[in-house]
Amino acid sequence: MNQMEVSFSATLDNENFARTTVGAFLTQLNPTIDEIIEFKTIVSEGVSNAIIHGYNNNAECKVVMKVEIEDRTVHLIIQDFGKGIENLEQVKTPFYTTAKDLEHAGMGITIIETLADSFQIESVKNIGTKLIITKRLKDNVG
Amino acid sequence: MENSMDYEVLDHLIIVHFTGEIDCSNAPVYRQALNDLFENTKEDIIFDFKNTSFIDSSGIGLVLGRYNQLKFDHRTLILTGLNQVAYRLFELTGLFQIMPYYESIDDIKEGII
Repeated sequence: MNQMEVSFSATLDNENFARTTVGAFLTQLNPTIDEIIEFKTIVSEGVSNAIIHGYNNNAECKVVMKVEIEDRTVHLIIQDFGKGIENLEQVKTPFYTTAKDLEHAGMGITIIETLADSFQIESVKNIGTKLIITKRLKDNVG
Repeated sequence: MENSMDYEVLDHLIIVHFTGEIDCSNAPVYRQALNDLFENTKEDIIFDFKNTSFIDSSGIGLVLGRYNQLKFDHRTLILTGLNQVAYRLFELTGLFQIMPYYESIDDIKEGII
């Protein structure tokens, strides 16, 4: 088991940092370029949800991200301590968005579900939201 | 690779090239620049993602928003050059049901000009 954990300010300027960090940590598994892009996309969707919806872009708050590698299985946790999600079924609905005027596609959670092997959301109102994502990398060839 | 967007005019078409990454941090900037460009032109538009290394759902929102804006003026939006992962996500979102996709700009030239 190999782990890493980072905590960073809830600003969209850190989205690139978050996904690049996960990409760098996973390099030791020799992932394909597509696998790295898939992980980066999952991180981007999860972290932007935490910043925008969990914290309402309040940069004084912190997003916590943990990655655990077990053989070739990667567990990724993205956690905020913000306002929480009242209706979990609603956020899983494709095209559901609370920010149509900002051109949010409402596809973030659907995209994570599509790219991950397994995906859970734990959320409590005014306590926060935790995304638990598991994805197995393909075996190395050669 | 620095994130940037530029465009060129080619035979009644405007090709917009996106370089680097598209996410929540720059999608609103591109949105504003494209709104200005579309207001001052009347050509059909190609979005070229050949040099785009990363697009998340804010990029999908950007494309969908510009499609709706162009549709209002009866203009066409064509997409090209997406990486494999982005292609899957655009497909998942149903974007290819409403706008054409070509592998490359050469394919667009052969196909429609």
